[in-house]
Amino acid sequence: MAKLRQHSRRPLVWLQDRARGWARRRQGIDPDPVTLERRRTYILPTGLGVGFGLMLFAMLLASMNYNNSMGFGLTFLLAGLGIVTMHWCHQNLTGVRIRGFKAEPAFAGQRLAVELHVDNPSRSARYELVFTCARSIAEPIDLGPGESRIVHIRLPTDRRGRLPIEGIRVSTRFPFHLFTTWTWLHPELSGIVYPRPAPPGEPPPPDSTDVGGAQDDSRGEDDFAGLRNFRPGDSPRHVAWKAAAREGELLVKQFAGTDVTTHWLDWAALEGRPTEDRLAQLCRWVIDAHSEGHAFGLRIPGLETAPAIGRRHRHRCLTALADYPADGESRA
Amino acid sequence: MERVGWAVGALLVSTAPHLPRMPAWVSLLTVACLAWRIAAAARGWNMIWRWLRMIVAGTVFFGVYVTYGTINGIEAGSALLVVMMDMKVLETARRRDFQVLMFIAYFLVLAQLLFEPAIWTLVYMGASVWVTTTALLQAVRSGPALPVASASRMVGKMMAVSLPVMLVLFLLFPRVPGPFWAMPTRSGSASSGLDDQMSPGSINALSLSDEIAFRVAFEGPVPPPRQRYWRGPVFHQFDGVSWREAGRMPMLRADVEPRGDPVRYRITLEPHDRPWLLALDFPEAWAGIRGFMTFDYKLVARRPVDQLVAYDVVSYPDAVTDVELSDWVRSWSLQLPEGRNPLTVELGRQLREQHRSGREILSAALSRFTREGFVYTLRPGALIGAHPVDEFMFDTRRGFCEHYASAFTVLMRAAGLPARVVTGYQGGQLNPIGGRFIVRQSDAHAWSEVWLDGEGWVRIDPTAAVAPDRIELGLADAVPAGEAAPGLMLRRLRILEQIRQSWDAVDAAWDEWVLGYGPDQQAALLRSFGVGDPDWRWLAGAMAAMLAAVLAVLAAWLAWKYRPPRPDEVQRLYRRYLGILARRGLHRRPWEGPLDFSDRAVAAFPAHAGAIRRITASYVRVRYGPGEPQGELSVMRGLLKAFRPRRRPPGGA
Repeated sequence: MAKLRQHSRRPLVWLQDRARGWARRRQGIDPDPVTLERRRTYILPTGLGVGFGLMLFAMLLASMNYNNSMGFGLTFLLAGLGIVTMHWCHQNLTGVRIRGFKAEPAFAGQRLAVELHVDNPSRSARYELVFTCARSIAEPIDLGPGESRIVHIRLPTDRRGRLPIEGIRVSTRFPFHLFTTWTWLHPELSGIVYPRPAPPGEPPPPDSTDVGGAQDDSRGEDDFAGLRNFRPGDSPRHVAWKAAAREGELLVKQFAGTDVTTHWLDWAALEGRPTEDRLAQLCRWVIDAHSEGHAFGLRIPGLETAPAIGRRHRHRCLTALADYPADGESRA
Repeated sequence: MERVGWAVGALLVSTAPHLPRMPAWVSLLTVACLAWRIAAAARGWNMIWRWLRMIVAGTVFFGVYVTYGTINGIEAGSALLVVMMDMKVLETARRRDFQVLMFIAYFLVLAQLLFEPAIWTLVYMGASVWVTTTALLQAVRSGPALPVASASRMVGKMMAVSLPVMLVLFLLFPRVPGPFWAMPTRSGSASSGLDDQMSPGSINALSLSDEIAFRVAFEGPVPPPRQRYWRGPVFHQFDGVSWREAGRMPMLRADVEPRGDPVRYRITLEPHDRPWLLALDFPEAWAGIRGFMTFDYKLVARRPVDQLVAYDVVSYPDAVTDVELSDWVRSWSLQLPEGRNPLTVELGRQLREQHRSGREILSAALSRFTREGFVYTLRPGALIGAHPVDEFMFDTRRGFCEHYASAFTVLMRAAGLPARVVTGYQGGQLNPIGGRFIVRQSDAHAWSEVWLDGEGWVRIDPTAAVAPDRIELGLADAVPAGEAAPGLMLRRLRILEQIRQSWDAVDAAWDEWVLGYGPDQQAALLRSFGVGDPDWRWLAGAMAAMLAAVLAVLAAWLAWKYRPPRPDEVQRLYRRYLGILARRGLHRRPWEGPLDFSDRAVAAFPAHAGAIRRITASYVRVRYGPGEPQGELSVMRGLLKAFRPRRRPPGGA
């Protein structure tokens, strides 16, 4: 019932969704480099285009009434322009190549960036390509001949879990917005939305125990073992700032530690709180432990991740939190 | 800012030809609004308050109504369109407003074309569509405005490729003869032509105008000058000074006895905002226009001629008309105002007494004009008395054709012969370029018709008696040399005359083939392609087929325009090398790198190991190495020229 009401309120949106579903069934899942071929690009006049048509009709009537050849000439010139524009608009989109679909994870409440590379493998420029996904619109881009650009569509997120990327609409109204040409991309893609982290402040559980050596790639914090280049995800606390100033590039201190502080981030430690609160708190602890360079393990019902450090470990843990079944949902 | 600049530019171009004929306040308002909008965009001013705009809009719409007394018709309509545009400019901020403005600009172009479809408006149309469309392109764009050069070039290209579509539609779109609803005619028009009354000086005024009245294309030989009397309004009613029509009663029963050879011709008549159509004496049949013949043998259209029309006529110059004169026409043709021009009336009575037959009276009256020192002149001097005919006949004796026609007709009536004044054009000029006959306003003329027993109406041109050159050679050669008007003087300069004739030919072709293109011409064009009598369904089908063909070419052109870029030199050379090997059975596998493949190639063609390794090395260096190694490409080219490995069975190594 509610769904029906929603449809009647926004029939256009409903129609668009239906059309997208049809295109999805027709086209299937897109391969990664996908070229927008002629048979999958659709075109319809816009509101302005319909207005233009009505204007042409009025002009035609006036020319007929006055039997005026110049009037006919103008009307037909503009009609020709409209038809040419239609082809131009269609051609502006067909042949574009899109690759490298990627969805960056995000925390609930933040924007999740869907990234794609757009290539223009042709000799003419393309203008005003608009990328839309679930009503989020990326800034329109122009592509010179042979040019490639990266487009980010930033989707709003409100709850943790998997965010299916149901279809990316690539459209253009170039040149005069009389027509809109579009196509739907259905990449094999879904975004991971981590839980919204709890506000910082609450310390992790006190059971930091020495488990005897790091589990992950032997990075510890005790004995300085040398310098290596900065990698994304390294804690700023490990950057050798003096050496960095000297060398001109970011260097990170490496330790051959045997004595690593290891936290067990335990579901059980948050006994008595609602599920989402627990997840939020665990999320906060994972973030903090990672940024402080501590090794940590995660224990939630049905899953235990051994203590480790590093970006991938953080992602693994946060994904586990994101995928944790909500109340009333059974683990699949 | 760019957006506003383009929009204002487009509006300026579109309104420019409208403004001179609009009232001054409209022009001022337009300039003020456009200037304000530009300044507002440059300085970042806010839009004017909404209620103030409403008040201004109401005021100016009312102003248009007051100025024109209507909001109907092209003139008032385009004034309304212009002030609407002004009001829209004031509130234009969003994209949608700009779009509406550009649509208004297109309509302004249309209004101008409807108002004045001259040949120069083609240039105007092209220019303003170009600028307006470019402005539209910039206005709807979501990103920053495109550079001026590339935007206008792109729009120019689009217009160029839409020309074939336009041509197909223009030629094949089923033309329905309009109009569908009554068209308001152009009011207070500046167009000149014969008036619906004649008083001394009225045709004289026309003689200074060099405007074209109509063009004629004769089928067959051009009739001699003495037959080239183009009949216009015929006047029966005389009040002592002016002549008026006796109404436009349709001919009930034509009493025409065709004699001699018919003259067939086609007239392209310029708009003159009066209903009459010009034709040679005496029209027998006509086609191509809805009109009728009045009792005094003039052709009248059902509506005022406010646009170019073309029609075909068959005339019999030697026809005998109205052998039996009806009583009412006779009484109209003898009417004279009581107590006016007594001397002329007295002279007529004397002629009646001195001569027995009508013919004798005629020749006596004509000889009076030749004998008594009458002068044919463009500057007859004003006749201001209550008896202008007397003043002319017995005092000034200087006159233009209307003076002679008027005086002669009065004289005939006084002598008891039914007579009337006919105005129209006499003569014309053959344009050797295009072979058309051109009749100008300066060829306007007036003459008399006298009814003689047994002969019917006989045309008598008293001007011919005074100045025979007027009939044979035209006005410029008939008046004294010092008198000719500047426009007439020009005709005596040979080069100018040729330029003018060429232009006239272009203009005539334009009128006939572009402006006059209608259902008839469409049918004629199709007949010339062997299609007889197509109906609108056939036309629509043909149009659709042609359009499909044009659009297929268009799509192909666009695909070609967006084709993949040319691979660079080194890629092409390497591909050639791969091709040579492939023809000899050695194919590079999709996953195989150039070096791995070269190993395989060397194994297959050991005799060419050097060349293979060198080509591969060059390719790798140019393609993957830093910079642009000089000379590598020419090395590759040279090696490839000599690279002819002998065919070997694949996998032989």
